[in-house]
Amino acid sequence: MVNVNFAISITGLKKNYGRKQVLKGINIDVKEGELFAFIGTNGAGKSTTIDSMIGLKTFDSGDIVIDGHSIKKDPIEVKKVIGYVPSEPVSYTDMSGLEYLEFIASIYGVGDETFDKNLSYLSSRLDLTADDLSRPSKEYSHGMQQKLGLIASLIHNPKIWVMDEPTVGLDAVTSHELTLMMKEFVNHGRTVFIASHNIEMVSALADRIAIIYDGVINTVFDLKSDPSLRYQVSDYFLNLVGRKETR
Amino acid sequence: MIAVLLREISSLPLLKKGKLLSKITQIALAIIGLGAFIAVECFIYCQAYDKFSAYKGVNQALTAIVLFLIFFASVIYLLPKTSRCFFNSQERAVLCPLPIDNGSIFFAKSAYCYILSLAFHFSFSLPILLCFGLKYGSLFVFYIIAFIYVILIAMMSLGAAFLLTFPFSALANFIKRNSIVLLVVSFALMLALTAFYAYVLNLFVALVSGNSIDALLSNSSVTTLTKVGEGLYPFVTIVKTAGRGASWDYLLILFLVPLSVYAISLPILFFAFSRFLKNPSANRKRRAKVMVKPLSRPLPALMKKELLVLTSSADGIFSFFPLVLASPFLIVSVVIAVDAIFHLGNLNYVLSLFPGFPFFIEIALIFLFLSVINGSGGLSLNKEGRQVLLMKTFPVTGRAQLSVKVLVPLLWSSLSFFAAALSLAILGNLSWVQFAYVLFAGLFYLCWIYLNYVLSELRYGSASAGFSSLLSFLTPFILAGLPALATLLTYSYADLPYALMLGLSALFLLPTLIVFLFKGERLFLSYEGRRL
Repeated sequence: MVNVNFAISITGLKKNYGRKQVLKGINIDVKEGELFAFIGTNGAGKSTTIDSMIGLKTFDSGDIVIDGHSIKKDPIEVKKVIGYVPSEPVSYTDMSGLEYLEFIASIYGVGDETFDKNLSYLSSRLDLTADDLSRPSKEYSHGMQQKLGLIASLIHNPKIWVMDEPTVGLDAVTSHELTLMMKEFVNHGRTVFIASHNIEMVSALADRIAIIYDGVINTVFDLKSDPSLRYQVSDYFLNLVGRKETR
Repeated sequence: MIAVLLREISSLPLLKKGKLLSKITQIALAIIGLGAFIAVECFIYCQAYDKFSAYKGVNQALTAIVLFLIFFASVIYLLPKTSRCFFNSQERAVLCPLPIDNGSIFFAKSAYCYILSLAFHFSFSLPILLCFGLKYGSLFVFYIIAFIYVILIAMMSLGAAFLLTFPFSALANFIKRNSIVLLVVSFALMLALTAFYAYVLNLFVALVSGNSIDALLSNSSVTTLTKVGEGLYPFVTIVKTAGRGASWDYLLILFLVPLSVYAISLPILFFAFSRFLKNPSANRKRRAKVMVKPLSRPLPALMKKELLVLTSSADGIFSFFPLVLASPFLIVSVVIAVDAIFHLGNLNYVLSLFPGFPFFIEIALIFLFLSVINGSGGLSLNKEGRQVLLMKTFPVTGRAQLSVKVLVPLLWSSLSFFAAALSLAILGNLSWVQFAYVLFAGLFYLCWIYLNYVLSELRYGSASAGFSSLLSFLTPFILAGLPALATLLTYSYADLPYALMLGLSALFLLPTLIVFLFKGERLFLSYEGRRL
């Protein structure tokens, strides 16, 4: 059943890698205009869930509906509305930053005027200069490549911004700028879906946080309804994974 | 210093970690391959030596020239290795913080490069000298001097490589940054290699056909050859010791020249290496600002991207475009050589039994070349590496993206093959009827190559895996062999074998095309490639 009230609706998502079952039935509903965070230990299934959402990987059962379109039936329509930031920056390293962004914009059918406007705005916010953009991206540092990836994910004005560990490699100023951009994104009625290890950041930022553990959603904290929960997320998570130190 | 040397040695492909059986197989194959090459080298040299025996005193000059060519080849071989060894930015980041002085690192790397040079000359110079000694009837002392020669000439090769390493490295970086220059240089190099290959092939054909060396060289050419050979020091000194024994003047030249070259090169390279360790990017200039161009639609953008992936291969001059540009010359050279073997040489009796035989040999070779040359263009999903992640997130169907992946290299390959077939028809190696059949059969075959590679990559993660890899190797022989067999059985030399060849190539293409059209999208969506 297609649920148009949610930007993202994941139902009964299961995925195996050979004999190993990584996702054992994920159920998530993300509202429009929500900043939804996804936390878990390494290998818990965060990236696999995101990969399944954006069509990078197929899954064994369940469904994912994004903006009213099923990823199984209408993958192209789903991909049109998503802006994706992978955990490791990826681009065509023989292209300059500008050439790469032009390529991405062409793929998404962005108009020249919109491209110029978005490029100008995003490059100034994320501090990627014209000189940087004219160089091949293989000459970029890790942080610069991550910035390029962030600009590429937004250049086509997506409705849903999906990010997998976006702050890795970013300097403190740019990380702060990114959190402001995320807030502005949701304030415009759009949706952010972020997977992160940075519990402090997501606790301060997200409207809701889901903890994935052993291939299922263990808990969902509604921080918008009860802001006091923001201080409990970290302790709960550490208790869950058995790492909390006694003080 | 020993640790740095051992680390360099462990980076050799044969010594990298892997399964024991695989390592043993690789080493065994390498030894067999090297042995086969040395055998062919000695065979050609001995054949040439016997042919040149008709001319008095030429053999020593010939041997000196051969030794010089091997020296030249060793410098070409060593240049990229010394460049990577001494000017590796990634290694710099590892070595600089370590408590090792630059001198120790430099000498460890020099020792490693010397081992490579020594191995090269032991493999290629020593067999030539041993053959020469046996043919000439040299004294025993010549063989001892031959070993000393190898040790010294390895130093000279290394010295020459050291002198050229820094300018080579700078030039290579400049060329890599400029796609058009890279394409022009690669094409020129491929053309030169192909011309050299054609010359060697003609030489081999002449020798195999039993023709005398007069067929290739005139009297004046032989005289010039002798003068050139006599002037090639220190190479000519080693061959002259075969006749006069270990005379002091020759030995002096033999020791002094290589040691001098090596001694001069060491401080020059050490200076460049030390400077590199301190600041590898001091001279890098920033490029001018690029103006924003009008955006294109998705499919043209994908086609432009595909061209970039094809041209930016790490294979250098053996990447897709230079190979495709050089392949008409290569194909024409091989076909002309095969024709010469069957029409001019000892094998022309075959034509009386089976007149169409050379045609089928040529077809098998042409299709084999197509398979090998276009293989580098076909492996394009793996070439994208992690960028394949981007492909799957684009709002463009998998079938459209895969079609672009197939069509862009196919277009270039088809043009190249058309040029080759047309050249053969104009030169008279193919009749115009044969040209038409060969052209279409070749185009169908090229389509099959690319579709097969892409489908193999999607299914198996590698184009070289599975049954399709074996099929890629066997197909040229099937496409040529079955029509040849039909011709033998039916005694028909009309259009039947050509039509059969065309039909077979269409038969290979059709099921692959159907699978691509109907299953390609699903295979693309399921493709997860390497861990992304």
